[in-house]
This record gives sequence, structure tokens and C-alpha cells, in this order.
Amino acid sequence: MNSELPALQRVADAIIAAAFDVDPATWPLTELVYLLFMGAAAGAVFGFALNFAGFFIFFERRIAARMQSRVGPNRVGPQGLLQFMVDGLKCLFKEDLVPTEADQPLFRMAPYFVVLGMVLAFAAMPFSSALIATDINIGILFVLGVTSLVVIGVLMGGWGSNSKWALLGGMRSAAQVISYEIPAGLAAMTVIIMSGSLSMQDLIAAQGGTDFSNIWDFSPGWAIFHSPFTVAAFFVFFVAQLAEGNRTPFDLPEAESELVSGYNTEYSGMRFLMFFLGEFANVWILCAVTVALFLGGWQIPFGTQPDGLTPAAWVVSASGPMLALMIAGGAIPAGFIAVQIARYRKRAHAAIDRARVPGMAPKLTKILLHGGLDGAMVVHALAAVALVAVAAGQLTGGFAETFAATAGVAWSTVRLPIAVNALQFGIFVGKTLALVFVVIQLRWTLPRIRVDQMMTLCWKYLVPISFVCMLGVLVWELVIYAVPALDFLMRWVMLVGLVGVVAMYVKKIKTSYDVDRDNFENFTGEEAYFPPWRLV
Amino acid sequence: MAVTIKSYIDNIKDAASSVFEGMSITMSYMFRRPTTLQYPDRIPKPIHEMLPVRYRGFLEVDMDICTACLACERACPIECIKIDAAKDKETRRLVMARFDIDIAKCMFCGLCSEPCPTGAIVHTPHFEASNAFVENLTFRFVPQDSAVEAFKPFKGYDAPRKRRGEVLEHMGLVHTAARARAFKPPPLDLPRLPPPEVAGIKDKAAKFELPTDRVSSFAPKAIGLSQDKLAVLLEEVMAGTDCGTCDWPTCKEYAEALAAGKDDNPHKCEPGGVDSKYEADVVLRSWKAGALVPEAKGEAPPAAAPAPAEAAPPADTPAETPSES
Repeated sequence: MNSELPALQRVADAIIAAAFDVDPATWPLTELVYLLFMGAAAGAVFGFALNFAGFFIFFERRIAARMQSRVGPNRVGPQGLLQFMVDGLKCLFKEDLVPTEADQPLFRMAPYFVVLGMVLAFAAMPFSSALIATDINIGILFVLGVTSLVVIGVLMGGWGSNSKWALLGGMRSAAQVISYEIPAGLAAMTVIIMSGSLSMQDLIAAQGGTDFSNIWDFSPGWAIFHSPFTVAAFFVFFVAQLAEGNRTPFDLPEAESELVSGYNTEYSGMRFLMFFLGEFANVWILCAVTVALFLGGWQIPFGTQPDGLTPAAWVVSASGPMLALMIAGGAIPAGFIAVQIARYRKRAHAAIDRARVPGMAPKLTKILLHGGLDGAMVVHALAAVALVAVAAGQLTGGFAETFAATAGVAWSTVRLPIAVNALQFGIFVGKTLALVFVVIQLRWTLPRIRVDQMMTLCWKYLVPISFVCMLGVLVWELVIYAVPALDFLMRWVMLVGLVGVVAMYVKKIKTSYDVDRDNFENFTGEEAYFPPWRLV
Repeated sequence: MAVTIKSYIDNIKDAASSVFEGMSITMSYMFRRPTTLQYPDRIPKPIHEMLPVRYRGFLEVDMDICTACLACERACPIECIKIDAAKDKETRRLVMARFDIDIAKCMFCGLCSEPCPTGAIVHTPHFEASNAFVENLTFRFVPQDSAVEAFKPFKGYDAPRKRRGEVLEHMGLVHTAARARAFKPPPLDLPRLPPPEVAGIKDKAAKFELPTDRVSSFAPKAIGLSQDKLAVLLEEVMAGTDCGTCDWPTCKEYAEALAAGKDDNPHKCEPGGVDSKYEADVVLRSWKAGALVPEAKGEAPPAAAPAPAEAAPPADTPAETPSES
């Protein structure tokens, strides 16, 4: 974190030095190795974004279904988990239509901007103390900046489509995102003031790291517990991020009741899919950034940070889960394809028996197609098994040990950091998914607001409130500088207060559940209680 | 409305509390049982056992207690029931050679089951009718090429009946067999019914008297046309409703039949009235004669009715005689 060189570069240097016995600073091929490492990191990040976007579709559809007393997609793959893959495949095969009167370059380029803005934001996404593609020193500014690239794509698509619906959607999106940047930035300022840094890792590091020798440090470290101002700032930031991500109730740019489908009205096939990919991955970004800023990021509650690691050991410890993540991303589609071929093997063979390829001997056609089908199945199954095995090896040692030895690090020194990083990764993903759930829940709770309401909310409420929060945090920082015990007190008060709010929430849930329970049970004769994790 | 500090804070409070309230309600649904019925494959029992007793699905007839009274056939507003019943000359009993219900046509109104004296015809809870061939949806309750003797109710008869749906299930027409049925080719070679006979058309056509005071606008165009073109011209003359009163399915076919000499009566177009009949007549005769017949010019022919008929034969023999240029 405090080293001048990025983590990726450090591990690349270590590997070059160990494997080729040369000085990385003067070796001519160093840049090439850097490029390879950057490619691998980009692949891991993009793979994560893609898999999350797919998983998010499943997650959202199932939750939406349960909130409407339905079941949701549960046919393709285990419990419908692979529905997004067939949907994606379907979109791939759809015709890529470009309207005659459209501005061709703009229209074709727009989806890439959306995806670009989304993927760039993942570059500074802190998954654990070591799992971050690049910890740039203006991390949060970078994330807030590149996510605004999405609006350029949306506006380009809206303008380039040459359709009034698309244009209106694009314009709304531009107005909305630009307006909501202001409260989002101001609310983020509260946390930046507290930690004194823009780096994502520093922002998270400032929210924990309990020192057990100092009693005054034994308090909830999350930024949200800092003072009432940060609580307000948290809500302001979350709402502003929702609006920037075009999520309900701020999905005016794609208001289907008014604008057909908004900026993506004219899009089809893969380009349409890319818009949605960007949008769903944006949900991850908005939740992850909120978690990183206000909810302690990857901090293990009341835990201490792993210190005293050499940079190489530190990055090796990260490489395990990171590579495992990448590899698992490959194993899922391979396994899916193998399973699907196995399922429809008989029918496919029957279809091959009837197939004729013009200009090819029927016997040869049959040998090739039958062989190809079974071959593809076996190859994919093997690939899936191999990838899973490699990923498991990554997590349990094996490959990582060899890797550590290559980098000149003793395996015993990195074993604990791997576990710590895995735990941090799990905590970060868990918190983010909890917030993602709230985002989904809000979508099925609140109706879409009007354009004027959206602007009122932003300029008359969120902006002034975020200013007050910023000033309040400044003042409070001065106060606790003078009296540190007040910080301790306030943090516990805020924790108790927020736990109280959650308790009220649970009670309200119980009340509205009880109101309907008897009706349901009398009417259907079945027990009304059906926990969310139970699958249908 | 002026915004005061109080209303400003109240707005924030309202927003926060209503979102809180709304979220607690949606969240409570996460703990409730989904009410979706995962038809057709993930249900506790077959769907027809879960439907209400009075569900109006496919019709079925219990032939053991059908009296062949034809009440259902008469009650059906859209004629989807067809029963052929006749007295067997030897046994002097009513025998049914056909009891067909066209389920594809049926609108499930239930009017047939109401007059049934024995309750033989009823609606079943079966409804899955997806089918590749619509002919498969004609349910035959009397097997092909056989006959069923009608039931004669006796005194003290208490109307016992098979379970609803039992007949259809026995015939292999429902539920488990529905898929198999859907993809088998039409098993029945259903005879085409003759076109309905409309009484009095022929007499009317015979009675038609050609008006003599009219000037035809079509007859001049007919001179020297090929047979195909003539058919087109004749079709223009027709009313164009494809009514079928002329015993031809469409106006086009009637016009072609007239032009080719397959139909010798040009007075069959009822919807067209006097206009169509007159024009068709003079166009046809003018074409055959190769010149305008007197009626087309608005003057009575010198001779009586036989004259045009006699004038026709010379030009009549080959259809393509008129000079084609």
C-alpha cells in the first residue's frame, strides 16, 4: 500500500528476478511481462464483472419473484442458475440491427463506453487487503470519474439511435447522472476528510484495525458509526449512487411506461446485452463503493490487519484467490456446455443422422459430426474438471506453493495471509451482496419518481444535506481531536442506534407478515412460512 | 406552497418512513410461500384432479347411456356435434353410426349437456388440446365403421354414469396421452360434408327474365377476349362476396366455370341481383357470338327466347375461336 510501485509490478519484478536471474529494471522483456500481468489482471476483473452481472440477473429475478409471491426462473441449470447463460447465448445469436437513419459510429460505439466505464471502475475495486488490481492514490475519485463514462455511452446511444425515445432517455440519463454526482461527491468527502486519503485501501484501512492495547480504540470502526453526519452521508451517497446507476426508483432513462425502453430502444443482440451488462455490473460497483466508504470494506470486524509481510509475499498471498476466481470463471461455462451436451446427446445424434452437408460425403459428415459432438462433450468436461482442480489447488496450496517458491518467498510465511485475504474477500463480497439485495428490494418497493421529483430530491434535499454532513464531520473531527473519549462514546451510541433501527425493521416485517398469515393459511391450507433460502 | 423549515423536515421524515414501511412489507414477502403452481410438471397431482368439479373442459359422451335423442346436436349453437342415428330395420332399435364432437370448434358453453336426459354428455376437467393436426380434435365416440345401439331408459333408472373424464381417458385422448396424440397424423379420414343445399336457387335462376331495356357496359369489352380474360371480366361482373350460392366455392371459380362452359347458367349470382345476372348473361353470349347481342344494346331480340341459344352453338364449339390478337 505504502510502496511506490503497484502491487502487480512488484510481483512481476520478483518473478522476473527469480525465474530469469536478471535485473527487471534493465531487462528488455520486462514490459512484455508487465503486459501479460496486466492482461491477466484485466481478465480476472472482467471475468468477475461478467460473472457477477450474470449472477445478479438470477439473484434479482429470484428475489423479485419471491417478493411477488412467485417462484422465478428455476429450470435452466440448478435452480435456474444458468438462465443468464442461455439468455446471453440467445442475445449473441440475435441480429445486430443498426437503424438506417442512425449515426452509425456513435450507435456502434456507445455500448463499449458503457462497458468500459464499468470495467475501469473494477480496476480500483478493493476486494481484500491484497486483492486489488491497482491501488491508485486517487482511487475513489477515479471510480466516481470512470463510472460517469457510462453516461457518455448512454448519451451516445441515445443520440446515435436517431429515435425520440432513445434521445429522451439519453438526455434524462445525462441530466440525472451529472446532477447526482454532486451529492455523491460531497457525501464521499465526509469519509475522505476522516481518513485523509483518496486511495480505496487507505479509506478502508482507516475504518478498522483495532488496537487491543488501547481501550479507546475498541469501538466500531466503520465510517458510518463515526457520527450522525456520516449516517446521513451514507444514505445520501447510497441514493445518489442508485441514481447514477440508473436503478429504480431513478430508472427514468429507461422508463418503459414513458420511453419504450429509453436509450436502448433501438439496440438488439449483443449491443443490447452490453448495455445491460454495464448496468448490472454497475450495481456491484455502487454497492461495493458504498461498502468500501461507509461499511468498513473488507475489514474483519474487530480484527487487526496482517502486517509485516514483504511485498512479494503479500502479492503471492493475493494471487491464490484471484487466480481461483479467474479459473472458476472458466470452469462454469465449460461445465455448463458439457452438461448440456450430455443432456441432449441422444437428440443431437439423432439430428446428425438426418443432417446433410452439401458437397461432403455423407459418411464423412457423420463421422465428423458424431465425433465432434462427443469430443466436445469430453473436452469440455475435462476442461471443467481440470479448471476446478486447479482452482482448488490454488486455494489449498499446491500451485501457490510452487508460485511462492518461484517468487522467492517461503510458503509458510504466506499461508496465513492467504486465509486472511480469503476471509476479507468473503466479508467484502458478503457486505456488498447484502447491499445489492437492498438495491433489488428497493426496485420492487418504490415506484419510479417523476423527472421534477428527481431534480427536487437532488438539488433541494441531497445537496444541502450533504453539505451539512461535510461541515458536521469537519466540526466533529475537531471535537474528537480535543476529546478522544467522545469518539468512543459516539461510535457506540451510533452502533446501538442503528441496531435499534434494524430491530424496528425486523419488528415491522414481522407485523406485516402476521397480518396476512392467517388469511393465507385459511385460504390455501398450507403453512405460510417459507424462508427466503428455501428453494422451490 | 411556501417551503418552511417544518415542511422541509416533514418531507424528509415522510420519505424516510414510507421507504422504511415499504421495505418492511416487501421484505415480509420473502418469508411467505410463493403461490405459483408450477404447471405442468411440478404439481402434487395431475392438473385435472385439481380443477373445480364444474370445470368445463372437453366434452365426453358415455355411449352406454346415450339415448340418441339428438337433443345435444340440436342445442349446440355452432353445430360441432354430429350424430347419425337411424332405426335398424331388423331389430327396430335406434342405432348410431356416428357421434362426433369437434372439440376444436366447441366453445364450451355447456348448452349440450343441459338437455341431455341421461347425463351422457358432460364436460370433463380435461383441457389440454395442443395439437399438430386439427382433425385429431374431432372426438369420435362411435368407433369408425361400427355402430352403437342407443340406450333405452327404463323405469326406475337412476342415471348411473361413469366418472367424468373416464371415457376420454379410456379412449387415450387426454392428459398422459395428450402429447402422443398431438403428434400423430390425423387418424380419421373424415368424409367431406356436401355443400349445404340452398332451396329455390335453381328455380329462381330459371325464372330470371332478361331485362331488355338496359345497355350493358361490360358486354363490349368481352368481344374478342381469350377465355382467361373472359373469366376475369365475368368475375368483375359478380358481386364478389364468395357466398357460394352458385354452388361454386368462390366467385372466381364460378366465373372460370362459366367461361370454360362447365356451368351453363349465368343467372346464379344472387347477391349481385339483376345487375350481375344480366351482365353475366350478355357478356357470355356476346363473347360467344363475337358481337354484341341485342339485349346488350338495350333492344329486345327479334326472335324469342330460343334465339340466343341457337345463335350460340356456332361460336360455342371451340373456346378459343374468337380471333386472338
